[in-house]
Amino acid sequence: MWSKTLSRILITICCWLLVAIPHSTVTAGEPVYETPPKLDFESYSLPNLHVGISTNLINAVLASNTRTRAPFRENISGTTYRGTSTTDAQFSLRTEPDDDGIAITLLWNATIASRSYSTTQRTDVSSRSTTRITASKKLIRQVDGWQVEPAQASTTSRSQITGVTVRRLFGRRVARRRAYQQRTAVDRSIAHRAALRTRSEFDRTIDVMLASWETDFDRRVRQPLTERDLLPTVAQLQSTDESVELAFLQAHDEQYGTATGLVESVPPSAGDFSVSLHQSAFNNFTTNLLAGERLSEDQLAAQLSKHLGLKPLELLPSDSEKLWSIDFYEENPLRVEFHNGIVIVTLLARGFQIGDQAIPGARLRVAYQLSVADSQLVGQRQGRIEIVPLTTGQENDNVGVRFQVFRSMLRRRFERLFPSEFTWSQPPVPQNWPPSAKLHFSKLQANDEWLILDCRLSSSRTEKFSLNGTN
Amino acid sequence: MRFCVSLLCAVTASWGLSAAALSRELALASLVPDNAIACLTTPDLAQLDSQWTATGFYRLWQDDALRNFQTSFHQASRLSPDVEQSLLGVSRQQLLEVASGEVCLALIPVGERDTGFLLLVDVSRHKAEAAQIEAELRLRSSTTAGMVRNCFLEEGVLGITNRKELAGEALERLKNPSDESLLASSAYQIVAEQSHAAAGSAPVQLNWFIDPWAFQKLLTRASPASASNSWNQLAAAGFQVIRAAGGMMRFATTEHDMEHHWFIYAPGEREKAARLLDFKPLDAWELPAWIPANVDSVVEVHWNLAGALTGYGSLFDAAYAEGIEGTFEAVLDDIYQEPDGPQVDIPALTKLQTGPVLCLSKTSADRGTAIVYAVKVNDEPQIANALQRMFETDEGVHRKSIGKFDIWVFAGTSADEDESDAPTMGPDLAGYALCAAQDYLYVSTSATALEKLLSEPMPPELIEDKMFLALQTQAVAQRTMDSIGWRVTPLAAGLRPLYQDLRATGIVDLGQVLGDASSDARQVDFSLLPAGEVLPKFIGAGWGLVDQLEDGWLMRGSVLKHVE
Repeated sequence: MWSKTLSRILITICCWLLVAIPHSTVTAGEPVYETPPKLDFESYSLPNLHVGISTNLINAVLASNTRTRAPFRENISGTTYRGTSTTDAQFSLRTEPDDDGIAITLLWNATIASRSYSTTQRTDVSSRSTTRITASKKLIRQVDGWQVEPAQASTTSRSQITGVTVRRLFGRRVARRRAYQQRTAVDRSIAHRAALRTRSEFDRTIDVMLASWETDFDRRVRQPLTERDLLPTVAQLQSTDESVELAFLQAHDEQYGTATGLVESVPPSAGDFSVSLHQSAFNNFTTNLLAGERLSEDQLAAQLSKHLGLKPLELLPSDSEKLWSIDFYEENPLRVEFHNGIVIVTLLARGFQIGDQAIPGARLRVAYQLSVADSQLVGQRQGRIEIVPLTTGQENDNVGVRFQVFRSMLRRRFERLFPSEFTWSQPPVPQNWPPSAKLHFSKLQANDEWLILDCRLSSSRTEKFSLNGTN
Repeated sequence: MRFCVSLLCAVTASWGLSAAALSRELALASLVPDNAIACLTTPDLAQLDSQWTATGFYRLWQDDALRNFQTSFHQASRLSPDVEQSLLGVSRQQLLEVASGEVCLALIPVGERDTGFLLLVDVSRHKAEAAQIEAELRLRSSTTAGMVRNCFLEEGVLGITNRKELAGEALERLKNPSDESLLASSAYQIVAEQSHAAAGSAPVQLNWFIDPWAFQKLLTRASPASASNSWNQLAAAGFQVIRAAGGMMRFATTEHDMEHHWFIYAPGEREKAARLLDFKPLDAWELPAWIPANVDSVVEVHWNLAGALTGYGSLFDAAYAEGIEGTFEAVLDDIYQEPDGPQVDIPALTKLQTGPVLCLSKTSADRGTAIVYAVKVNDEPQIANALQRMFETDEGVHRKSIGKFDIWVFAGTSADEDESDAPTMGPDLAGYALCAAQDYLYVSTSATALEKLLSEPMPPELIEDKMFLALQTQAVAQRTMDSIGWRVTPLAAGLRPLYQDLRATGIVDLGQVLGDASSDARQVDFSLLPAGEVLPKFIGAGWGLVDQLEDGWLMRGSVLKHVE
């Protein structure tokens, strides 16, 4: 269960990393915005994607309280104890400061209440006991892999004899006294055994979980992305008492990243989940994914679903005989720009096809003003979708009647993808996302080529996850 | 005769109208079910044969130029390689010997997808010969696998069919006359009435009737090369208001090689794309002087373009906009309103039309058929300005100056264009040219043709041509208040474009046309037809009229006798 849950959240994080804002950007017909002057890019390798996840959010997803009840049979110092035990356990984690990796301590606290019966030398003893276990295991994720420390566990056990029955005629008092005298030794033995078992089980479970997670991540994320040269480079991993932070560079050797680092451009984000996306990350990703490709609507939807976890309904074809496809341009087929609160999306296509008919290539631009209001992300399109011929000469040339017809048709189709306004009530999350971890949008900035999106937990549990609290 | 009739069927089929026959006097159509796809009848086969063989069309068929095609047709149309019997089950000579007068051939749907033919022959005066044919067919059917022909001889009617159930139905109708026959159907009767009223009382030799939509489906199965979605789109877009067509033909009359009167039956209100068929009565019958005398044909139709534009909008929405109504209107609005668009108000332009639409055509062996459409307008500069705005920034259209006029020429298909690439959305305008000149808007399928038309010096004028004047006189004499258009075809009755289309049809499985299974042995190759230059040697000039009636359009036309 641990491995599945952890995989789920990590894959979600990766999706967030790689996608950020899916199909929300755009441009305008009338110039209601101004495209800022292009920054002077130089080749460099500064990270262009930052992700921050609060410890609270991780706990909201992963932490759990469980109660189990089971019979037991244990032999301690030659005496067999039988009975039932009830285990109340809390699993959580905490993050710790680390500048070179993500340091996580997994915590497992349990209280085991049991009732037992034992018989020795014709003396029946019934007792009840309480065993408290506090276990932890530290994991450090570094760029080159996991560093795992052995689990630690401390235990205490205290029992109380609730009845002694001596089934012999002589030595009853001695037998009774002996039973009480052994209690302390038995408690010690129980505590010792519990600590050993906890450490062993904790180590084994985490080993299995990490191996499973690596395999799953390889299959579902790393391998597909690597095949298409889409896997971002992990530039930095670090953690604090309150969060983990990841920085990536989405660019291969011949691509640009950012000219300025995140810290220089924007204030640090403070959400439970935050994504800081430089436009180069998105543009490099889409270039590697789409350049020179001809994709039909359903193929594009499949790509978005596969790589970004998105399932845009707008791409589902409404008429199988009129399936749309886009022949993406070889360079910068789909790029975004973030400035002054505006997100501009530019699509370059060598051509389009509707059923068995073609539409010549065109450049589509659409601009959205993005904002967060009432915990919702709102996008308002600025003007119409601007569509001009790909081969247009002068910027201000009027287009001919044939292209005008084509762009009217294109506009009608793309207005389904780029509506005049859209509202997201919550960020996209994987299936089976726990209700306790529901997120809402808290802040959005689109400035100086960076898009910064913060989300907060919707529940009131902004306080640190309490180890003793109930969930 | 069989060949001639088949050829006529094939020719008309390739036009999209095709063959069948009808006449209200003919009794044999009462044995045909009312859902017949096509029906071809003659009241007197012998007379048809003698009249037909006196026409230029027959001489064309007999000419050496058609020898290769004749051979292909002959081989494909035989019931089996070792007999002279045609796919219909009888030879031409047998048919002429047993027919006592009336003969009827119908194509009839069988079930959801199949088709069969039913040949009915009045043999009342040749029952013995007919009995012999029946016996031969029964014997052949019992010994030959595959092309089975069922026949019956009952009450002086010889029936032959490739579907047993059709024979049974015909016999049942023969014994118990039914109101649900083709003859009794409203479409058949109205088509017959209108055609008969136009043809007059003189005997006709051939009657035809067709359900155009069903026949197109049949033809598509028989000739995959002709398969097209456009018919289905047209039907779905409102053109199914056209229910049927049919007519009557006379051959080798005193004045004409052929006289043809036919009616397109389209009852009810025109809706959706059928609003394209928006015509007005033609008030003037004078062609402009600039039409050169060397055109093959001139058609003048008073087509209301403003109304037709609405109909085209429905067609556009259906063909290109996933059926979303109003798309075309939005597109027109964008063309006018978009700040960096052409800003041309196309609906307003259509209102500048001040006269009928002229259509000039000329066919040449090397360049195919060039058609120039011309519409008289009352503001030529505005049209010229609109053309400039629409095309001057279009890289696929270049401007060419001819004297004081600018011609806008659409680029042809690029040689390096990948044939597997999908065609560009919209009509294929490669090679088209447009121009506003002489108070006309010209749209030509060929830039060269338009250049010639606008170049100085002007060639001899058509309106001075004696043949044209003779044709005009005949047409004008027949005009009515309902006439919306007319046609004069000085050369080969204007049939060359249709003939070229027929040649381009390629392979047609004659057996499939009749409802038989597909077979390579039944394929006739229409590309073996000689080039269209052969037509003027045998086919004379022609003229035609179109009257718009309440429930359709009546066509009247004649082909003059060919003068050697």
